[in-house]
Amino acid sequence: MAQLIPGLKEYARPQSIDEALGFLSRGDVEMKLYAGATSLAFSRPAVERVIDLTRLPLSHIEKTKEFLEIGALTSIRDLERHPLVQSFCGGILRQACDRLASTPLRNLITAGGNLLGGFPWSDLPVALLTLDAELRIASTDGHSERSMAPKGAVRRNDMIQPSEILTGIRLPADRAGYRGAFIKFSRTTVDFGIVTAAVSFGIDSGNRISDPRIACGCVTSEAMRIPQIEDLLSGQVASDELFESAGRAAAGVITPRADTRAPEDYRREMLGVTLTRALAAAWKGGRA
Amino acid sequence: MIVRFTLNQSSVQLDVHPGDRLIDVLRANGLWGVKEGCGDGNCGACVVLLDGKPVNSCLVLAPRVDGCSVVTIEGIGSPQAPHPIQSAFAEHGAVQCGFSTPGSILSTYALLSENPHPSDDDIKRALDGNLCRCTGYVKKIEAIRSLID
Repeated sequence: MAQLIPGLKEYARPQSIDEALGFLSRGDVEMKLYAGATSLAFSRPAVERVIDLTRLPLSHIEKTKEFLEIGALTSIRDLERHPLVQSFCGGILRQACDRLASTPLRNLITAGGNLLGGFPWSDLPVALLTLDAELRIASTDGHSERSMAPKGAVRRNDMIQPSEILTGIRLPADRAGYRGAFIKFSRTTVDFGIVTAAVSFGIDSGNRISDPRIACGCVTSEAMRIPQIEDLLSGQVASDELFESAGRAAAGVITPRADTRAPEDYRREMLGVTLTRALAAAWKGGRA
Repeated sequence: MIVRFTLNQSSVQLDVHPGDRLIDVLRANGLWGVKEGCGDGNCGACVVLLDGKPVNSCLVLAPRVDGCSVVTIEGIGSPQAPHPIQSAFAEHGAVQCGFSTPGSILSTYALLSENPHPSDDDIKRALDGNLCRCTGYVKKIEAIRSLID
């Protein structure tokens, strides 16, 4: 029988986060944390120990006064269907989960895994970039919180160290009532995106945009905010013309990658189109 | 290593290598209704129900299911006593080469368990992870619709 990880010698099933951290801190062999594990088939990590986190109580979604708290092991399918997620910031996270892979995969993929995977096509990180997401981290030194993307781009090394475990993602509640939208442009509903765009912003009484966050994914090697477009939109009166000019400007400031799904020029064009659509969707569908 | 779980409503105890895939362990134990198509989570031919939810068994390490419930196509009906979903698929010709059928039926089973009156969109979405290379998608939808009308 062919093994998914041929060199694997030990499968650890810790019953607590502390026990899981204990395995990690041994540092005796190469190891891998196991959550949704949907990337194992193509990453085939050469590890001797797998640490199965799936039994840990980290699959929750809760609202506190200051945050929407999402357990790192919450499956994408549970996330997209949760009432608190459906209503948060125009439903932006539901939209990001909606076309993230297929139903069987959404049952396996976890919020934390999709965030930390570090793939250019990951959908959830793009939406989280526009929500000022913070990470809850456990290490042998205790628990701490940190910004998800201090440099405006999703980079694994900024998010987590090998000795740490992501236990949750928290979203500041002040964006709950903002307008927001996520749009994925792809060949089929379950394929990786060619371009994804996420936006969130407030609207004042004069229909002026405040505090915008604009992000894209699949376009370069990492999900990233586009600060030039945030500056362009800030304080402007919302209109279709504004959204079109923002899309055109975005196409001018990003250098896309090419791959088998799309060449550079097509990605650049579709970034503008997708961002314009996301802004319009947020404006029309979101709450003030 | 020993893995204990509930397989098609029976308690089982299996000796596996920690790197074994669930699909291989199930097939080695005679459950050939679990098919391998792509082997990387794209096609859904290997779908089984893990604690009631459809998942790709080619991506699950066997030790992961310790203490869980696993249901394969053999667990919901037999040729002598098919499940109503199996009968509906047969009656509507929603079986062509048959390779993707077990996974599609299990995805349908999970859908109808949590939503007895799905819309066409709900059905399409529930089957979005079960590719059919004979492209028999419409007949599957008709079969499922016949169960909810």
